[in-house]
Amino acid sequence: MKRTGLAGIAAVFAIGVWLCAAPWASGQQPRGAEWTVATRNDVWLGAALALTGFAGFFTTLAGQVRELYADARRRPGRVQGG
Amino acid sequence: MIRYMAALVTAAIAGMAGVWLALAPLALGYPEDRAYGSIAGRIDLGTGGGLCAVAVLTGVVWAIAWRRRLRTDGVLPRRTARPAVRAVPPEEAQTQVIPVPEELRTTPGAPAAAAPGPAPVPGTEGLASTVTTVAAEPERAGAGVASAEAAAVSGDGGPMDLRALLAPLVDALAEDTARGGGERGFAGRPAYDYAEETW
Repeated sequence: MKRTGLAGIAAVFAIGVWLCAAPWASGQQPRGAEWTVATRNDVWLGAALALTGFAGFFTTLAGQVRELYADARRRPGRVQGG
Repeated sequence: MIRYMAALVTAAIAGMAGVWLALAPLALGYPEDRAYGSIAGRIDLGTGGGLCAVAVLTGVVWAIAWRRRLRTDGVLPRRTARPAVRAVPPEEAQTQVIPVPEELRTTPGAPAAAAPGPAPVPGTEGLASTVTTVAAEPERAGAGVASAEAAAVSGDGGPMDLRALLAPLVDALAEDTARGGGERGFAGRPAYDYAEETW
């Protein structure tokens, strides 16, 4: 369940990266030419999505690791100190 | 808790971005005669739709995970299965004992008890003697049942109707007893010997 959730957040990051590259990958934006409205929209939105996905992924991952440590501390004799 | 919140916020932002992407060709007036006819429009529509699906899936998964965690921690009450039937109050739950006529309690051939038992159920007068006859003399039971059947058909009413109703059952019991107590029981299983209380 948690892996599926993490995969979903990683997919958000991947979609953001794809959106940034889509105008050039699909050939709608010629190299060196002025950016069209569609290109600007895709790049800015893709960058925001990639950033959100990146931050969300590592925040949830860090929370999961923290939870694992907390669970280990509840069981006696597993983790010393902390 | 922060990670569930972060995941849900990420999913919400992704969902809004997906909706915007799907509507952007119309909102921004992409080139070509039709907004969704251009390459950029089709890419935005497809990517926006996929992003919405991913956002919904992610949000649902994290919401379920969060609820489970809250239940585990005791913040939310645990689910309990609803009772299938209404709980019966103790005064209703007392077992009603129906008195059995003394004639039916005696074994075939044994003398009936001297003390009279409770009054028989209306409509079953004579049924005990019929059962006793069938068990003791199965050859003669068939004729007795036949005569009872004839009397019921004649329209006597009352107890005879009940006899006519039970006639096929008594007939089958008589046949079974005549075969020697029945070496085989129901569905090929050994029959239960009621006298010895063994199979």
